[in-house]
Amino acid sequence: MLVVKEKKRRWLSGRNRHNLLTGLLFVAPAVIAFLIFRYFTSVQAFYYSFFRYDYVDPPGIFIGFENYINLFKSEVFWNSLLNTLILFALGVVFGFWVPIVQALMINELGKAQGVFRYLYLIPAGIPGIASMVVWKYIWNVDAGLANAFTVALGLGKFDWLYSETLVKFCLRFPAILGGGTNVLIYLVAIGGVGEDMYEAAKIDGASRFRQMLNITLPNIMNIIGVQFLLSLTGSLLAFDDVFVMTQGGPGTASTTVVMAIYQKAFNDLNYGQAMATSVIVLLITLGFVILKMKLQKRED
Amino acid sequence: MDITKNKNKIRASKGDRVFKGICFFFVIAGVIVLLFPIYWLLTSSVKDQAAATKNPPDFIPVMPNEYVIDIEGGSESDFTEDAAKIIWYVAARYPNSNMGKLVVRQREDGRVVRKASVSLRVLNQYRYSIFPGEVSETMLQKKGTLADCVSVLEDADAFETGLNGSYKVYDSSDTTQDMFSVVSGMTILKNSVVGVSYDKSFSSLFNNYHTAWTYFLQENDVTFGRFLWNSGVISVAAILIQWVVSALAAYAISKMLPRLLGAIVQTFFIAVLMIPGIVYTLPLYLMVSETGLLSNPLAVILPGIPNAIAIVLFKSFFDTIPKDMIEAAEIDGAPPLRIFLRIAMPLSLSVFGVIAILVFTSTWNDYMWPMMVLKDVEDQTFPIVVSAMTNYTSGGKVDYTIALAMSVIASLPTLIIFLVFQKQMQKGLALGGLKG
Repeated sequence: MLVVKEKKRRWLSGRNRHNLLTGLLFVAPAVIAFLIFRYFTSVQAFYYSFFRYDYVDPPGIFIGFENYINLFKSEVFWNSLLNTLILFALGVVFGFWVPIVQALMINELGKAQGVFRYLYLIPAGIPGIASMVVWKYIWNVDAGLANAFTVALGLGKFDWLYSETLVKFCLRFPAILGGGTNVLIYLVAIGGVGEDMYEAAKIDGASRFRQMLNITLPNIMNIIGVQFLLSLTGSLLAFDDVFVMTQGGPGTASTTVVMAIYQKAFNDLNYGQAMATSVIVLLITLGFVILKMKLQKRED
Repeated sequence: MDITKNKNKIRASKGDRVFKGICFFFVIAGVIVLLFPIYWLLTSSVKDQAAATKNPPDFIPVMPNEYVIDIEGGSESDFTEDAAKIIWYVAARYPNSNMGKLVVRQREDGRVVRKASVSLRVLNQYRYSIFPGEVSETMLQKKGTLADCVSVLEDADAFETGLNGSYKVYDSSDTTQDMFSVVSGMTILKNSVVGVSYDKSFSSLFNNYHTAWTYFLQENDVTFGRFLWNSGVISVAAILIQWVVSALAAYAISKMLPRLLGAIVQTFFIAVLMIPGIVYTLPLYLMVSETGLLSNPLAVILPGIPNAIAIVLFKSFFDTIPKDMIEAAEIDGAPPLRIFLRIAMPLSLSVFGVIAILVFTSTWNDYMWPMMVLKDVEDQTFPIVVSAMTNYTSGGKVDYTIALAMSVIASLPTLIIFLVFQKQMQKGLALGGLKG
C-alpha cells in the first residue's frame, strides 16, 4: 500500500476498479428506468407511427408514411397547432411579464419584502386543480362572477368558455394575476445582482427607478430568457387546464396539440397517427433546441 | 467624501420615496388581486346551489338558516310519515331561502317528544329521485335522511320554548309566516301544525364539505380522504425512490465513475429532457395496459422514476463535497455505500429536502397521466375526481358547490405543508426553478 498519494491514478487499480464497478451498480437502476420508460418508449412511438396500430393484435399493419400524410392533411392537426400558438402568445401577453414586474417591485420594498414574498407564494400552495375549478366557476355563463361583473357594467352576458372567440382568452386571462413560484425565481435572481453596481449608480445620482431599469432588469435578462424558453416548450405540451376547463371545446376552438393527440388515440382509437403527431411535436421541440443553440452561438 | 454622500442621499431620496410608495401600492394591490380567487373559492364552497347560482352573487356568503316546524296531535307512528312529507314539501317549495337544515318536532303536552332533522345538502342529493307518492318510504330508506335522523327524546327538549297554550310563530320573518300557513294547509298530515321558527345554523356552513367528503361513500365505499391518500402514497413513494435511485446515480457520476464515463452517463440522463412527454406517454400507456397495471398506483409511480432534474441537482451538490473527504474514508477501507450513507448524505440533507419538495409538488398536482391510467374510482388521485365533479348537475342545473368544497379540502394538505415548511419550500422552489 503506497504511503505517498500519486497525483494521477493508474486506471483499473484495485480501488478504482472497485469504485468503477460499484459506481456502475449505483447508476444501474436509474439507467434501466430511463431506458425502459423513456428511451424504449420513445423508440416505440417512432416505430408505431408507421403502423395502423391494432390494439387487439399489436402492432398492426405497416403503412409506411400514411399516418404522417393523413396528419398533414388533417385540419384538426393544423388547427391544434394554431391554437397552441395562440394560447402561448396570450400567455405571454397576459402572464409572462407579470411575475417579473411583481418581483421587481417587491424587491424595492426593502425590509418589508419578507411578508410579501410569503404572500405572493401562497398560490403555489394551492393545487392546480383547485384553481381550475374556481376559474371554471367564474367563467360559468349562468352562475359565474365574470358575467355578474359584465352585466353590472352594462355589457351583458358572454359565453366565455362556450364562445369560440373568447375561450382562449378565458383560458389564459388568469395568468395576469401572477404570483407563485415564478415570482420567487425572479426574486432570487434579482437578489443575485451585485451590490456594487447599485452603489456606483447611487453615487452618480441615479434614482431607484433608474437603477431598477438599468441595473436590475438587464442583469436578470438571462433568467428571463431561460424562463421564456421554458414557457415556450411548456406551452407546446399544454393539456391539463384545457382538458379540465373546456375539453378542447367549443368544437375544436381550444384543442391544443397534445389534446388532439389524446383525442386521436383515445376517441378515434388511432394510436398510430397519434404517435406520428407526437413525433412531429418532438421534431418541433428539437427545432427549438437547435434554434436556441444557434442563438447562443451568435451571442458568443 | 462624507459631504458628497449626504448630498446624493438627499437628492435621490424624494423621487425614491415616491417610487417606493408606488411599489408598495402596486404590491399590496397585487396581493389582493392575486389572493382573490382563493377567497372566492372559500366563500363559494360554503354556498348551497341556490346561493352559488345567484345573480349577482353574494361576496360575503350568508349564514344558512335552520327552520323548525312543530306539530302535535298525532301518534308516534304518524310522526315519521308526517315529518317526511313536511320536509320534502318545504324543501321543494323554498329553494332560495338559504335553508341549511330542516327540523320537525312533535309535541305532546307542551313538551317535544320526537324530533327529526335533515341537512338540506343531503336531502337535495336524493330529492329529485323521490316520487311524491313514495315520499316517506323512500326517505326512510335513503342514508342520511329520515332513517338516521328520527330521534325520540325522553326529557324536555333543549330548545327554548316559552310556549303555553296555542301559538303560531316564534320569530317573525316572512318565510316562517308563509311556511306556517302553507304547511298548515297540508291536508295529508295526521298531526296539526302549531308553530314554525328559524335560527341561524352555523353548522350548516359545513354541509358542502360533508357532502364532498361522503359523496363516494354509497357507491364506492370511500370517502374523499381516500383520494388524498392515493395521491399521498404516490407522492411519498416517488420521493423515496428519487432519494435512492437519483441520489445514488448522481453520487456515482460525481464521485465514483471516471470523468469520461460519468459525462456520458450524465448526458444519457439529460438528453431525455429534450423529448416532449407526449412522445413516450402513449407507448407507456400501451405498455401499462398490456401488462395489466391499469388502476395500480405502480402505473403512476414506475414511469416517474426517471427524473433527470433530480439527478442534476443531486450531482451538482455532491460535486461540492471535497474529494479529500471521500478519499480519506476510502483509504480507511470503507466500502462506497457506507461512504455515501455516512459522509455524503448527512452533508446533503438540504438537497434531499429540496428534491422532496420538487418531487412532491409535481406528483401531487399531476393530472394527465394518472387520469389516463387510473380507471377505477377507488384508485384515483384527487385531481381526477375533483375535475370530474365540475360536471355535476343537481336538478338539471349545474352545481359547482361540491367541486369547490372538494377543492378546499384538497388544498388543506398542501397549504399546511406550505405553511410549516415555508423556508425550505422557498429555497427548494427557487433552486429548482433556477437550475431548471
